[in-house]
Amino acid sequence: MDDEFLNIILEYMNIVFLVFTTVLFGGYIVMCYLATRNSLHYKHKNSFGDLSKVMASPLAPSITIIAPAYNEGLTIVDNIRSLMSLRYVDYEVMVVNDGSKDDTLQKMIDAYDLIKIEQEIDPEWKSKPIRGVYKSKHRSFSKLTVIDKENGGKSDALNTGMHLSTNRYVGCIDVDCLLLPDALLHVVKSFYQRSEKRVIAVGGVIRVANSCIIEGGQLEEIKLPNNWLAKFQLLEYTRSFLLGRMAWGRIDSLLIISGAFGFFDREIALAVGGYDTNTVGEDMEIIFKMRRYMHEQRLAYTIEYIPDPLCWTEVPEDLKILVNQRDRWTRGNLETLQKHKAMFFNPKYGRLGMMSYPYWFFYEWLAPLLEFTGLLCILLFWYLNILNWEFFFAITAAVWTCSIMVSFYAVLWEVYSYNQYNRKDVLTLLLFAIIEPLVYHPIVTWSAVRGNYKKLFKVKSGWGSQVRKGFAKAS
Amino acid sequence: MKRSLDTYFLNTLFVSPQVNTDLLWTFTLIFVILCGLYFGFIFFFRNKLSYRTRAIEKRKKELTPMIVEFLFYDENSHKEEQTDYINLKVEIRELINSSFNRKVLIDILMYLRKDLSGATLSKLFKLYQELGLHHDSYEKLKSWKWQRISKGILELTQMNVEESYVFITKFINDKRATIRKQAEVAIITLKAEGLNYFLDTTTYRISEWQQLKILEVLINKKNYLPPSFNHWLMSKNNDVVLFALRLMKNYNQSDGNEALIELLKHRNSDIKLAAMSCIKEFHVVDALENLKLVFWDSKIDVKIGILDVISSLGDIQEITFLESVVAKESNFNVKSKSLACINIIQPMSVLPTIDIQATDIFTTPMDLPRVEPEEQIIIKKSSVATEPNKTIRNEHDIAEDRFSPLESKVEDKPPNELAKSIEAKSTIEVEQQEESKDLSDKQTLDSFNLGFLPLIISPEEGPVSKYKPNNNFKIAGAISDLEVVFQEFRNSTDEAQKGVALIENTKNNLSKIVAEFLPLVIPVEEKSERISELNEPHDYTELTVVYSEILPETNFHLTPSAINTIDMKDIRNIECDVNEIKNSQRKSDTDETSDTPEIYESLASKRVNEKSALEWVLSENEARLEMKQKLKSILKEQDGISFKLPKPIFYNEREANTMALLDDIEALGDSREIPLLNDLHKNETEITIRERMAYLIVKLEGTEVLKRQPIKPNSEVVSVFEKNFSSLAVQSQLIMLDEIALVGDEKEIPFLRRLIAASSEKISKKAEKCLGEILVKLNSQKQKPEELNPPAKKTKTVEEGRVVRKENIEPAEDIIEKIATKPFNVFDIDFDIDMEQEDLKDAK
Repeated sequence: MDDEFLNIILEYMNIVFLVFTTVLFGGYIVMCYLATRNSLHYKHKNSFGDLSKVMASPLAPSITIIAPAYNEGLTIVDNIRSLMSLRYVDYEVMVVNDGSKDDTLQKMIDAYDLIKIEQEIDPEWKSKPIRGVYKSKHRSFSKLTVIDKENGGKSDALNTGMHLSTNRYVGCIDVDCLLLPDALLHVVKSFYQRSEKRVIAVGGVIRVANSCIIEGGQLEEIKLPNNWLAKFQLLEYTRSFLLGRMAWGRIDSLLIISGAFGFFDREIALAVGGYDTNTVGEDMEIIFKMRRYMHEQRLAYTIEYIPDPLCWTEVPEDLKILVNQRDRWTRGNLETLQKHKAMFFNPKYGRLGMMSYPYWFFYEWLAPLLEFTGLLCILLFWYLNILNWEFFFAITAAVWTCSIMVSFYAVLWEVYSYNQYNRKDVLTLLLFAIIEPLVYHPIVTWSAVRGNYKKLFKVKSGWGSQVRKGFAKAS
Repeated sequence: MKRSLDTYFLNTLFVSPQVNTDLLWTFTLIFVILCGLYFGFIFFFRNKLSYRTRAIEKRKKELTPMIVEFLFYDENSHKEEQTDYINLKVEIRELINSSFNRKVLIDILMYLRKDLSGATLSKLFKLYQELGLHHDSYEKLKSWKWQRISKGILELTQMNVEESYVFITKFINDKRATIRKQAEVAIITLKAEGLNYFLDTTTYRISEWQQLKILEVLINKKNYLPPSFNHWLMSKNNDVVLFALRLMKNYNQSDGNEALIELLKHRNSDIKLAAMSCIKEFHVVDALENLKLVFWDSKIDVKIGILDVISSLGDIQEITFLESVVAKESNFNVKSKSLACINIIQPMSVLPTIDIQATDIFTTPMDLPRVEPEEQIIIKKSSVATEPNKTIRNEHDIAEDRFSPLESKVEDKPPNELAKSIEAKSTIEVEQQEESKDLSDKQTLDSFNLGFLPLIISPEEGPVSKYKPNNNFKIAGAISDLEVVFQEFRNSTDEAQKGVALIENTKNNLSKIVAEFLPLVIPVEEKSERISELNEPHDYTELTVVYSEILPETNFHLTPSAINTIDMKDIRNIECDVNEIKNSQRKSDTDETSDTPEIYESLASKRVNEKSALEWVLSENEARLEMKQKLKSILKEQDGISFKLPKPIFYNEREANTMALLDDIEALGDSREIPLLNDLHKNETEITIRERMAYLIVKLEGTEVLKRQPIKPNSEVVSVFEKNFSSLAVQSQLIMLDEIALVGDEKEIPFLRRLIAASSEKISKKAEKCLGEILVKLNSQKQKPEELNPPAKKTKTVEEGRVVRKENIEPAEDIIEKIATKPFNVFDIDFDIDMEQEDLKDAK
């Protein structure tokens, strides 16, 4: 009787895994379809028209790009130079020195001839104290504003920038990101093109710049990263940005805009209190908040997503840093889901409550835990000699091939839309797509489990750090 | 499969369900197949894209030179070139039979369109239609795909096919946004009345991006006369109203002030803001009451906008309202803006309060220890400046310095003696005399507080040299260091007279005190009374300084009109001073060992200096901007006619043609042109053109007659078309005959006669027709010169297409008129694709 009972339990467990996997397959297929529709629509829509013509229009809105900097002394000067060479008429680059311990501030002062200016600050604004606001003496750097403040984390720095900005739109980016010259034109178009709905935020694709050749703040040559870890991440980013977010964008249910390249309607962002300083997943959390706010105010709104490769960044090439990064993302995810649990299957929030939130809950937060549990079960069953080998191989093969299929589809869209890599690189990517579920995915799953462990057992952990190598310079 | 699905039906909770793995293997198989397909697609698409890109590039390389040849073809070129040109046309005709080539051609034309302008662009537009490519675009309009329709509209717009206007207007309210937006831009681009049609008929919202694009189109439209946009301020479509407001501002149409005021009450914040922007731009003072009315119920950004307008248009009467905003408003930004407005309207009404210390903590001169004699101060100065451990002095130190004995000695004296005293002190410092005088001066400091006076700092040179009697008072440096508060003079006569009186009084008193380098100082309130009490102790912080640039020889006869005539030159001079101060401060930063008194040394210290310099510069800039604005407004109020920006002067068409002719004469002409120029000069009324003519006459007088070799006529009467004709296909031969009919002359007649005699019926007929056309043309050509130049005069002869001018010259006006009315005939050749198709049908 006991054996029989155990068998029943085991079979039910198998069914749970099977159903979960089948729904996942279904979800991915629907996602591929939606992403395809959205990509084609975007491609057709933007196949004509010249953005640069409206660059200097008197109706073009002002934008502030806020770039928090913490111990970025190595690359800060070049990064700012790159930010100041964008093609747009009316924008401000606001670098927030978040209490760097290195010579970040001094380097900026020296390089751009900055001097401290007086600026009145709302005493009721809650952020770490501002030590000074700097502007350059030179007219050619008039776009640059540097804010020096005490360390309060990325969110606090971004909030300070948002508060001190006077422009209608603010862009929150990572200072080490490389924006393509037309990036702001695309962003403005996205903010301005809707007439029925208010665009409250605009996000974009983040592309991997490791091993790419950058000269004078311009992307000279696109190359596949040399580092194996970076190659996996490139594949992952392609899948996530070209399929996942395009699909969610299609049904206007995007719940995250990458912290490396996100633009916001400043009024709404401030209305919801800006970034949450108590979470490490602030980029996701602010979108949740803004969406909730607009829903509750019953205002017509949308979030736009630009699939064009406008923002390039370095991804970690070190395993430890990668694990820390994914650990942090998981914690951020969990904190955000926890904070906005009222949305969970709440029809009041429409698709957000009934689709987006549950997806994030089950397939972004729960999936790694389930995978990990599954792995433990396999080991346990194998040890107890009760493992259903047939089922194990069948489900592994199905999941593996499904994963490869989705990756291949992402590469297909990358080739169809942008065709930026040569034949050899494409073949390499496909090869990495085949081995990814066996090599890279376990690392990501492990990081997610670690993040959950830290969060649930309240193990103190912060942001971690990433040592920037800097982009390769063109010869 | 059925079996595997059946397995998952839960018959009972207590029976172990059989998980049939077949389903999973089926999934696996499907995924593997899909992987294989995707793998194939990846390389298929990649190769296809690469191949297509290469093919397009290759074809572009072939077609682009041909298009360029067309665009830059000169109708007066040699016969051989004309032949090549026609051959090229025949070739391109054959090429455009392929849809791929047509597509590439459209791409090339669209690409070239961005870089061309003027006559060449017109040729491009004409070529597009002559090649029949517009038919392709029209075809696209019939498609059901929104992207194809949009593309078609875009092509027709870019190629300026005005005839397409009617077809495109039907898309103006299309439910598909991309088409609709493309159509909106198209009709506005194609015809001037397109904007009116669009604003009248659009029922959809107009996105900000669309407004931006349309404005861009309008800005780039040549000779565009905008309609009066205030007609659309009554539109039911809020976006139309908003766009009309923006256009009004852009085209400076200030004829709808009442509507603007009314729109301040609009529910839509964007409209409110746009209306405010116009009100500010057009200086609609009448709107102030309504602005205050709507203020309290507005959103934060609107409130800030309202305050901005009030600060620009308002006067002292608005202070009460602004104070109430400060008192009642909770938002920090609005409050700050309100305070800033008060200070703009009434400068220095609101003083800094943050980090300001209580007065009792400052040390007064009475508390100071014994003051060292001047000589010692100077010696100490130089020694302190070189001290390595000298701490940087802060602002409080500077504040204390204001009460230092050095100045107290000056401030202590009655105003009418101050100037003398300063000079005397300078002399004392230089000569190191009168050591004990300071102590007695210091004692009366409290009773005559001149701490308000600006510190006169010249980091480059010490006060010794500045105050030297023979130093001609370094005015620029002195003025640049003054803290100056600007006050706008009222326009009314009474106030102006008061102002004059005040200035005169003040001038009489103060000029004695501080010689000529100090600004004029006038109390804000009870000015006359205060001036009469000038010898009594005053709180001079209440004073307002009326700005005026004071030169050493200025004799202070300022009148309101004189103040009003402070123009931008004066302001530019201030900018020079600002630069000077920056330079001087930079020098002082580096020159730490300079021999300056203590009071200056503190300011020379880097930190303080940078800060003070920046504050000064920023405040000065702000004040300068305000002053510019106020001067503008004063002048505008005083004389609405005189306050006008200079407007560009354009040549009219006749003048432009004359100038073009003169350009040609200058470049190519010689002394033979002088009679023509004299003639033109006689009839010309425009001074600039007359001067140019006179100059040319003088210039050409000494030149030799250029030897212009006329092109010798080809002695052999052979048609250039004959050589290639036989190698062409029938279809192309027919096309060539069309071309011959258009460009041929008498040399083609024998060739055509041979064709009529010895060709197929089709060619023969065509050649006959062609011959007839040439004969008609030749006849008309013979008649034309006779019409233009009566036989008696015989001013021109036509010789191989070249016009050689004889001694007798046509009246200048006639020549210009002919140039102006000369028809554009580069592409007179009929290139209608339909004709060709008809011919083909006939050939079959």
